[in-house]
Amino acid sequence: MRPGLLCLMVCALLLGAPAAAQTDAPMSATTQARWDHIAGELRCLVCQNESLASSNAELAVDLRREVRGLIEQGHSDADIRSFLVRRYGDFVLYKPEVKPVTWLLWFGPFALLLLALSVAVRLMRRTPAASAPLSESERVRVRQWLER
Amino acid sequence: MSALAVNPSTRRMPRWVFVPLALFLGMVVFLAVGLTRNPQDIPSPLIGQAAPAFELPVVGGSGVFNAAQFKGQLTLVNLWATWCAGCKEEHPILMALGRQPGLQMLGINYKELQASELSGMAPKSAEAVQKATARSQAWLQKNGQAFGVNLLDMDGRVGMDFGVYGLPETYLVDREGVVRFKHAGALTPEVLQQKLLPMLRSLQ
Repeated sequence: MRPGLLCLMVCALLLGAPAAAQTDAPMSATTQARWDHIAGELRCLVCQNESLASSNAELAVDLRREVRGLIEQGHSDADIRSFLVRRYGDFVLYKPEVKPVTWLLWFGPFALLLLALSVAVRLMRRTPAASAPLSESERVRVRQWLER
Repeated sequence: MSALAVNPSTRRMPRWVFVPLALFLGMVVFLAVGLTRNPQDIPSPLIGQAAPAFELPVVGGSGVFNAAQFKGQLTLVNLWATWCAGCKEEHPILMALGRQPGLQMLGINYKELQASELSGMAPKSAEAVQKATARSQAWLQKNGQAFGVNLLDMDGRVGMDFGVYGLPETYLVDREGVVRFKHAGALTPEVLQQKLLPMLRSLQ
């Protein structure tokens, strides 16, 4: 089955079903807090526009169980992120790490904005050169046109 | 007439005015190319890394396959399941690849029983394994024994280590046990000819 199709079907079937980190037992308060913190930052790879927390794709269910296990074993958020990045790449993070490969992604828009602003400012600062005053014969012609 | 002509000096724009336009056009090209790409094609971080360590039972046999056995043999790893339509589609290509000399064909039957079918059974319970084994073997009997070794990944944990996000997926592991190639989705004659076969030749 194509992942996209599978995703659509699963998502359609389970639309509205609560998608907390449902495994078996409810989470402890501290686990829940950590979960809430990290799960929204992780992307479901099957339904790419859904976070891992909200997706009902089967892989997302498995990964939630895995992430929950890692939280309960006391791993840090960084450990959990790297667990996922090692397997699925930066793609799994909604907020990719800032590193040379992602500089363009993070700073590109700001660089463009600065550049556009500086061009705009320079354009606005330019005082248009005053046009030469009309000569007497020109004035006469203008008057003639206006009175026509 | 000359009286109404605008003084040319106010018209001339310096060249740097066009820099943002050029950048914008560059961005348009960038995004246009991005639109034509398949969003399911996620570059695998596994390429160039050692294949994940695992040990799984061989379907229809008594032994296990350990990832250490990648060493010394070029291996094509195919993650598949009987419920996956793309797997059936690409199977003739796997059959053809199976005839390549010096290439070990390893099938990993990923989550043969999905959550809805397990209905409370533990994924690795004897009952579930038995059901999955029967289905896996029947499917291969019907569509062709493409795999020299076929493994059962009941809970999908090994698939997860491979970074699977949709079936089928195909990996090429070299003699050192390093993943050299990944294709997500059904293998097509184009992928075979343009990517997989050249890669195979370069590794053999």
